[in-house]
Amino acid sequence: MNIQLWAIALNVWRESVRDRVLHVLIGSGIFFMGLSLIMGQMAVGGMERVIQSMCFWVMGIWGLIAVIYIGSRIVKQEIKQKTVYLILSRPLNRITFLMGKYLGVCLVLCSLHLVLLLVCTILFMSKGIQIDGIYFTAMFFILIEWVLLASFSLFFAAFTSPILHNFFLVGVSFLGHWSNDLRIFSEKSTNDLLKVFLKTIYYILPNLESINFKAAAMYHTALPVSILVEGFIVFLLWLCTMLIASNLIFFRRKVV
Amino acid sequence: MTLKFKWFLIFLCLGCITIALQTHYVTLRYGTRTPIPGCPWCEEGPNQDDVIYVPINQSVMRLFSPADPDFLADLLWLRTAYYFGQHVLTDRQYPYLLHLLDLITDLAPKWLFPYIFGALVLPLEVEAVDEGIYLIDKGLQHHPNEWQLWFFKGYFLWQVKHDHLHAAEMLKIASTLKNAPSYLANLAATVATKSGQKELTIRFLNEALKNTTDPLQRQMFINKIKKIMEENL
Repeated sequence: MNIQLWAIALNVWRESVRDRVLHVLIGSGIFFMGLSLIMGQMAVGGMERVIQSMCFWVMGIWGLIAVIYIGSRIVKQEIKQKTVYLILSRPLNRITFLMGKYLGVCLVLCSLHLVLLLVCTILFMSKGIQIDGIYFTAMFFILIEWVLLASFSLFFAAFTSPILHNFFLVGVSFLGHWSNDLRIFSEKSTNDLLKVFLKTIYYILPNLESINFKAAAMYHTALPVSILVEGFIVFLLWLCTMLIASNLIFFRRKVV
Repeated sequence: MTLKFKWFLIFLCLGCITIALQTHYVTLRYGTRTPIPGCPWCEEGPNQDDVIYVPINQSVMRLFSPADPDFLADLLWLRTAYYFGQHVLTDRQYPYLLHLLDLITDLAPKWLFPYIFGALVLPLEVEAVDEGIYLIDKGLQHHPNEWQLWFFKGYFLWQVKHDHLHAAEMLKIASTLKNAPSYLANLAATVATKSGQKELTIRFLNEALKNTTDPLQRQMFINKIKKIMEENL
């Protein structure tokens, strides 16, 4: 099972690495990071800040774009090109197939993250911006967010069309970051129906803002270990939940 | 003439026509650009861009990129720097400056620079002292240990509002904070003297004396205390 899993994962990784769209994505990410040098010069008294915030922005948004792009094609393309018949007709269960795909997506995301992280670090070092443990922690949690979004992507890809998948995924990502605002709005709302609606969204979606440590990295704010550990545990729980849900749906889906 | 070359010529002609038409359209749409002497990037006429680029509040801004409020604050900061530069070289009117700074500090409350900028520019350049003090108060909520904010508040209360008592208190707090210049303790006492509160002045000086190790400064404080006490007698 492990060999099959790795074979599928490596295949996804190889396909994605050869994909020109991902090359363009990496290139544009590096371009925007470089652009921060010019924008930084226009910001009076905030050059370092602009470089930092723009690099973090690129890391966040480019990850979402990558997950959307890879995730929307991951299952649908196999079904559309009918290559899924070749795979599933072999002695391979659906869980291995889906998890292999997911692992492959995670490998691609890790590669993308590594390249962007490297460029970002070089840029920071060249401008004398302080790089400390919090910086790497923030970067690690950005990767975690990508991986979590990939699990949601797999879940949506298991039962919807690519367009709906994209809508849902952007919704999860944005609402996940608005979580705290949703809670405040729900508390302040006088409309009971709206209150229940907002609270429901608040609880059923992952609070992505709680694992967003970009501001802490920018202001070099010390983070308690308990926060990081609990954040990581919450991420793992969400990950397991979404992977189980994806498998449950894909297991029942009529593909062949 | 090959087919490829023909298509290239068509492309070239079409491109030229498009660019020419666009230039004409832009002139028609926005009129002829008349730069103002002394401000090469400014144009004559009302600055409609000012209104277009000011978002309503930080919640609206955060819709664009909820995970990166600091990045949004930086984008607004770039806009603010341009806005301030444009108006400082032209009409010296800044109706949206406070709103922009307010938004920036809402999005990035831990960023000190906009507070300092607003604390200096709003009272001194815009002559909006109350707005400046509002921004300082907002800054103090997030940076209570920043001596510069306390100092600016004290300074404006003293020089503009003539509220010597509160100004002295602000300056006294500033003097006790990290990196504060040593003259602040003396300044706080001087301002307190102006308020007529001699006991308060002596208290300030005594506290300053406790926190100062420099012998010259200590002697200066002692002399000042003696002078006030003699005046009281």
